[in-house]
Amino acid sequence: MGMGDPPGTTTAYHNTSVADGASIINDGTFKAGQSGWNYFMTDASGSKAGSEVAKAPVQFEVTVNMSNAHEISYKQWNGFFNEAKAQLGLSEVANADLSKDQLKQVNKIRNIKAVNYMNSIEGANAFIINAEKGASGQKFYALKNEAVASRVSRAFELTRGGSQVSQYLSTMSRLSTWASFGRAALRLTGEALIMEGLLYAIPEYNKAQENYNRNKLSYKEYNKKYNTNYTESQYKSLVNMGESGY
Amino acid sequence: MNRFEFLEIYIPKNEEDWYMFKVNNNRIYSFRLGGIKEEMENEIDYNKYNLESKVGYTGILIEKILTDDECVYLILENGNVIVSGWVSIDNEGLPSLGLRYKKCSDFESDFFLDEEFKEIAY
Repeated sequence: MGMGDPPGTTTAYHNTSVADGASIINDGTFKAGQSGWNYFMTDASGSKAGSEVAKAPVQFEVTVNMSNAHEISYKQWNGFFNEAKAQLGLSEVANADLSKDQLKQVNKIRNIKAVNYMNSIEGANAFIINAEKGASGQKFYALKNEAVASRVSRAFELTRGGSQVSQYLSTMSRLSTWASFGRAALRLTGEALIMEGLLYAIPEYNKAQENYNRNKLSYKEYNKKYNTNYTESQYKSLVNMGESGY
Repeated sequence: MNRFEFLEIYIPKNEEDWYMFKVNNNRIYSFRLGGIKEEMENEIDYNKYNLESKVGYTGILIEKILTDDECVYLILENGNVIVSGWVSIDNEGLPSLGLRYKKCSDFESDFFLDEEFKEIAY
């Protein structure tokens, strides 16, 4: 339990991607990953390798009530790790000699074992995983969606990656606006094309009118009306050209 | 056993690399799961790390380094502790290794007396 937390509640942190962080803000709740569980941790004071290029750069702080939650002890957590090592044929390799890649593979299997264990307990939807020795050690909380709804306070706070989420939401908002008005935009584009056609047609029309007028008018009347200086022969050839050309 | 001063931390820019620390005998060690490993200085690409010196840690004698086969506790003579352990978990439940700066007073009084801890020689 953190300083100032009401009895039974504790402060925990949820790490996620920018896109999922934006989704949490939009929906006002957390959504389980593929495993069917939402994960939180109790100690966010650490830094991890590659933080600059982290896949989960967003962090939310929540208040969660973990009273009566089931527990995975540190010994059990270690046990899952050793079983995973054995499954990969790495039992003889000291933990300190594992490569990053091997560690990643072992962790994946440990995680599957932990999930299988949690799923095996009927009706259990909240677990405390002791990921470190001692009462003050790192703990992970695993909660099903229904446990998030009943145990996690809705007033959660974005403590890391806020600017990235904000930028993402702004981009998505613009895209969403364009999607909403997509059909209207297409219709307007169509109308614009029609308008463009009309604008293009107007000079043609003028020319037709002009031609029509020319046919009706003598070359003198035409010159007078349009302030031109066509000779009679020029006007005749223009009328002929117009008649054939327009 | 010789005791050395803790100097600085090398923070990896890439998640594929390990955290490292330097002591005043000019040796560099990486923090591994449940241990440390000496790294050859001429094989380190320093461009892949950010260097961090921390008041209260840099220049302080290392009292001992303990491990329970997963976490590593580098305990300094002044009571400050550097913990290498699980600092993060993603929404699929996969944890990441990292470092935390702590004090002995952050732990229960008998925490480091646990018989399961092994002392790491360096």
